[in-house]
Amino acid sequence: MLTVLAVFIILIIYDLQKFIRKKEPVRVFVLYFFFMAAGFTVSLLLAAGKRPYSPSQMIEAVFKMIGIVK
Amino acid sequence: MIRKKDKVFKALLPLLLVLPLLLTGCWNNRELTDLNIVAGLGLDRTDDGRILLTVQVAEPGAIQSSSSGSGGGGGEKSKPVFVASNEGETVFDALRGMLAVVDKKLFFSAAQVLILGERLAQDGIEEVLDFFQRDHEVSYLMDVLVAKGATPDEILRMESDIDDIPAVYIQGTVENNISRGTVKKTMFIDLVKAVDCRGRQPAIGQISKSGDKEIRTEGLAVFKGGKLVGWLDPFETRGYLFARNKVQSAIINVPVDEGKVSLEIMKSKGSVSVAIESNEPSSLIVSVEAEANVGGYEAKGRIDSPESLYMLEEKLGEEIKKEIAMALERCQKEYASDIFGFGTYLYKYQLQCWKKVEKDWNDVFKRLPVEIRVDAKISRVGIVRNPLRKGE
Amino acid sequence: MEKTRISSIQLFMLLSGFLFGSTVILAPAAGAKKDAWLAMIIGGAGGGLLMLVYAAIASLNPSKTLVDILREKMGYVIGNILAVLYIWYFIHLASLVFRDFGEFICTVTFPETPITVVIGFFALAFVYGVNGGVEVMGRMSELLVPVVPVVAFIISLSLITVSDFTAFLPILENGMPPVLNAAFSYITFPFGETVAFLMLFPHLNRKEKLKKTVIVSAIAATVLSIIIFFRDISVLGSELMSRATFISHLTALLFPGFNVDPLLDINLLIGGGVKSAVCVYAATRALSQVAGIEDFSKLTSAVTTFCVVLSVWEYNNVLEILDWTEKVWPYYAIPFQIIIPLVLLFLSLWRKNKPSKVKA
Repeated sequence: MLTVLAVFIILIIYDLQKFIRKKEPVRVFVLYFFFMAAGFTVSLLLAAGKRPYSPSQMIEAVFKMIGIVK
Repeated sequence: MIRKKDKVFKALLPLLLVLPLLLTGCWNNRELTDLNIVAGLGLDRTDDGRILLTVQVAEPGAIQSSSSGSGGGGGEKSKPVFVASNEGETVFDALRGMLAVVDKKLFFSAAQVLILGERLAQDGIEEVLDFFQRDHEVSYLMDVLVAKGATPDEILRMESDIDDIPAVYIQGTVENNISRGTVKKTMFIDLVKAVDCRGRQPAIGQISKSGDKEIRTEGLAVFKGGKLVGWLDPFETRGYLFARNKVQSAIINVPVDEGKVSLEIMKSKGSVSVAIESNEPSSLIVSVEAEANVGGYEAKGRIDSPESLYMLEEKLGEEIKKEIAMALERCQKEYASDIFGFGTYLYKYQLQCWKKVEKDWNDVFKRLPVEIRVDAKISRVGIVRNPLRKGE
Repeated sequence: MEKTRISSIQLFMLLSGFLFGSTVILAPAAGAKKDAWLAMIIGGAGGGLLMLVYAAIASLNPSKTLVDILREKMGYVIGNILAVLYIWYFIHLASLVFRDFGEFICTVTFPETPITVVIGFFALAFVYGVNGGVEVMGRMSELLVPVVPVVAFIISLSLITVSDFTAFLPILENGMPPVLNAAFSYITFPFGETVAFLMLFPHLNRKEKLKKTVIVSAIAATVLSIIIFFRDISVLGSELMSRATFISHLTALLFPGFNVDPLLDINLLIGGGVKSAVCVYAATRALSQVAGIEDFSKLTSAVTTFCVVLSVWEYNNVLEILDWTEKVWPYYAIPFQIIIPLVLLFLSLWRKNKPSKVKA
């Protein structure tokens, strides 16, 4: 848990200081935080042992529903 | 700007140069001195059906001191190997349980031989092989042998005068098969493939005790459906190896004129096939081409004409034929186990026919007539032509 | 738009590296067992055609990336939606490559190292490369990809230990259907995945060589796969081959004398590196184009981080991966690899012909 937190904080700080120095548009921040937040949430959940359904499994479930994959 | 970058780079350079030092080890790095290097493995089943695993562990330090220590002298000479055994429910269980007996973690990648007990072999080997296939440390190239008349434990506990490490000694004798052709060298991969193979039963080399300090690797253990069903003697083994195209060199003795002539096989090419009649297998065919030199003439008569060599060729052919016939006869009549791979031939080249007989191939194999074709050739006679004889 | 250029030989190396990529580890067309070589020939031909389609799209729309083409041919809204889907697809693909890679290393080389650490360090190294842009990736692959076949041939020495050159017999034991199935999955993995290159093709310096480059790399990849297949089946036999988790690794274990499986790790690092680099590059480029950001390298670290997390999240165990790759992947890939590109090709041809007719 703490390791995950530490890794993400280091990554974000490293990138943010570059972004701020170069005065990036808001879009960059939004997209950056979207991906980072998604990654961070999932890895926290994984670290906590509560693994959410993964995209691959969802895709498989959808395919099974349609009946392409048995 | 560039200046600044340069400075930063120079400041970082020492750090960058130090970092690679950290990359030399891996996560679970273990030093040589923290390992027990396993040289030989033995596997058997106890009376109550548990696995009995024996390991022979080599001590690198002791081997070094014993080989270079003749002048150094002094001190007690430590033993180059120790043997430990342990029981368990499964192979892996027995293996980990062994850590209660030995002090360091066992390391398998250097294992030379795996010896299977007769009892275990009779109960079936397929299940116990799984661990060895799955584990990433086990070498697929170690030799597998089946112990006859002794347990693997007894064989591995034997102290040999010939080599410091008995497992290496055993492996060496198996390796010698290249020039004698009386035991089948079966690497672990060969065994796995043979069990996997369709239409062929596995056969593994045999090891037995011959005296207190020596072993003998000769003969063949015949399996059927993963279970040991019987043995072949050295001559039958050689016949089998001829048919399987595994003879690289061998000495064949041919009776001539109240004596024997030893012929050294230099080259041999063998193959098995099945004759088909109206989509049914009609006979089993073994064909062997062998090339030999005269190695020793210990009989009366002379070899000075091509005709005498033709005569020897014919006798050599008969001798090889006899060995193959003996092996085939035993496998057909006694064991009903197709270790020669006639079934594989059918499967590969006559698929339709194979599909028909696949289910009861063992019975079909048992009753098919056999045809053995041997083409023997003698090309050279050595340094002298005629044998030594008091003037005539 | 970046102004960087890559030469056709660099593109060839990138493409071949991409195609070898994870196939070094996961044997393609394994479903056909003994007849996989037949499946590879059929699939290779189909895959080459598919790659030609991509090349044709690119040369009909010169110096436009996939996002530009989608927007132009499908309209702004649908084009952007499809572009977002493609972004997801590339990210997903990259994470699968990461996972294959990590799974291999964790099974055979470092069994006690957590997979996250393996993947994380791998990702760290190559974010640096991707940030350098197409040119850096091209040069890197020019340097490294030639190592891949060399390693494959070195491992062929395992044939000294055990070999049975008739192991691929009998031919067509189970008839044609499994072969065609395997051929189809061989088209979608790895050939169809080169759809990501639609983000790279505009950087080629000499457009007229595009089709030739694509075809040559498809042939090279197929031939190498077939050689590797015959090597593996001659060493292992078909039964053991179908039981092995990582076929090439097992073959490497049988190398006489010493241990060469680190060589396979090198192959994987190169192939997997090129493949995931291309995927992440494509995803980030597409993302920044959709969002209207000029410099894509701002987002690489975020996207890569997400890929790493996704790759760990994706599956519970190694068999899920193999099962998923075999069963679900081909169908999941159809729209991205075949349907949308074919529609694009059709639209490109149609739009191109129409004005010329009007003029005439």
